[in-house]
Amino acid sequence: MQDALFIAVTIIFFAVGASFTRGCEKLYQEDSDA
Amino acid sequence: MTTNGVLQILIFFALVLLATKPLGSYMARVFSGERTMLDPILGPIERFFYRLFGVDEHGDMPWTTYGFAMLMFSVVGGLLTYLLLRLQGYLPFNPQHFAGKDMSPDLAFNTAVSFATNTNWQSYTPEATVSYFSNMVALAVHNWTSAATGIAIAVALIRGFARHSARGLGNFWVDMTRGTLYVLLPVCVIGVFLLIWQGVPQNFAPYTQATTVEGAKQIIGQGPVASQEIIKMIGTNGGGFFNANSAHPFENPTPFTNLLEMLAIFLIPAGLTYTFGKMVGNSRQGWTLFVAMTVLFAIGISTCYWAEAKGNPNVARLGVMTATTPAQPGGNMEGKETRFGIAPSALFATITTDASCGAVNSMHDSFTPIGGAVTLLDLMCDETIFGGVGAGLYGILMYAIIAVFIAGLMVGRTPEYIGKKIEKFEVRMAILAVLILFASNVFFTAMASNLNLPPGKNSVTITDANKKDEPRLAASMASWNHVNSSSPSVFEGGTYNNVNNGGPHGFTEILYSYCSATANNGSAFAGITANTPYYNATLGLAMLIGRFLMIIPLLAMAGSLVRKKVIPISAGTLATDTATFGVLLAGVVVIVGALEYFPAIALGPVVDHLNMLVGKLF
Repeated sequence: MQDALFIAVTIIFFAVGASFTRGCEKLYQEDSDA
Repeated sequence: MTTNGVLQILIFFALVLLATKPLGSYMARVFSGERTMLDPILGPIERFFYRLFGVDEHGDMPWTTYGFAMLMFSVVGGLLTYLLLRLQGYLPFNPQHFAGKDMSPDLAFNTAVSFATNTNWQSYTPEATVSYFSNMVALAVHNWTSAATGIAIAVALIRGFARHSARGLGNFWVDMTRGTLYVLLPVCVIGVFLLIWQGVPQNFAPYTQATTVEGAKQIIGQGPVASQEIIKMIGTNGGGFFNANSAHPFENPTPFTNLLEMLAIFLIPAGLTYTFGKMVGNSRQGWTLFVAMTVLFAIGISTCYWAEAKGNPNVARLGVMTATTPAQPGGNMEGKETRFGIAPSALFATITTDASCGAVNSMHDSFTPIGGAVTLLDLMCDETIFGGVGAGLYGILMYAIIAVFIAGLMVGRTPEYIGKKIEKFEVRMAILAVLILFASNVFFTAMASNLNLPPGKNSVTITDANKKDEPRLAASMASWNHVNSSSPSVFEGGTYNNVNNGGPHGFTEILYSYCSATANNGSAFAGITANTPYYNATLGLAMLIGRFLMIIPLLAMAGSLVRKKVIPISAGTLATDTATFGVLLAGVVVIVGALEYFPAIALGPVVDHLNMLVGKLF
């Protein structure tokens, strides 16, 4: 059970990182367009 | 402070200075894809890896792809490490028969994240919990890959400045491979033989049972120490083969190995400043970063050495002679190895916290409040003082962008750096990275300083008398602060109970832990029981935040810079390749750090120091 929890936390963090990457790129596009 | 001590520090730094240009120049050739003298040997191996993994070595990646590759590589590596640690009981090279239960899920998570992020915080006791296989495959491999990842990110950021009107920052897989093969491997091969020559063990033998002169039984741990030791220092990883780390005589047996290990920490971070200058076409730019780092390092080591040499006035008040004489080192020797003494201990502590290494040859918790504050402030400078391999360079470049912006505001110059106009997006990303690190440090410290988990304020140790209550305690929230593998079971209750010292010193122990995790340093101030599910989980999260949520904005910044055109130097351009800018840059690091952390520093080391002066110790 705890194994699943910590593996899930690691994968969720990867998803957060990927989403953060896309967010930064989106911000760049908005700044470039402005 | 003694002449001998000062000379040791100066000789160390002179050697770093001597190595910076040749190593930096070599790394510039490696990452520019130029031919090096090692090509005939390493070229076929490099190409074999590309064929094996299907890597197009000429494929350029935009920053988003580069970032995804880095994230994916680190997360997959972290998960594999987690599984290897949990399954170590079924794996080979395990003469001590360590099992998966020796690495509980939270501890395995903490350890896997710790090594994948180049932190190497060790909540576990290495010689009592991990097999040789775990050490070599699960952990030491990360010493290589996490270090190479840091170098790759730094090189990508350099290309952001060096290239113009482009999209690609290079290829993450190629940078990783070349960093490992051409930079880390040759330096480690030389270093490992020097360590073995000096007496560091390198074997697969079971631990030796010895009988001491008093007749007691002692188990002497050993194993493939030298090979892990060298990459631990070169890669600024810091995770020791033994719990005592570089204070252990098997890891660091002589003054020569002590010097070698300190040099190994600073070698690549210092060299990368020259690599930066070389790759952007103006080596003075690299030297300017070197100057800024040197100024900060000089402030740190002189303060730390002064404080430790001065010692604790309360000891002198007790009538103990604390002066330096030919027969004794004087000052504060608590927590320091007698074979090293004060200057090399203060120097090692400053270097390891500057460089985000985390290896220790003395216990920072035993330093005077001011000496300990230096190590804490180093961590708070966000890996800018030479820093981790790669991390130091991208950390100082983050501050360089802020410095250029501030200078632009102060003297009315156009914010430009290395021929690139610094605009809103770059400043946003640099500030975002700084604030993320700060938020992680203060949030987790505030939580751990106040979180009152049941069963209450005081630590609860399960003994025969209250053993019948154990199921109730274990079932409650207290299990989140249960000390792993403790026998009899220890439930600490409130997370502030895990410190060994009260008052400001205890607060510093908590603050240091989270600063160390977020800065991916990994050194422990000591004095804190961190092997509990709560601390393992939150320290692991702090490491992830400190590593990846700092790298991503900086890669985004590089992605923006690489697309820009080069603008010609004009009368309005602020010169960034001068010593003046170097000092300004150092000032920005100090001011930003001080502004952010002043309240926390005041609550911890400052109050601790003022209390010490009036005779109150914690």
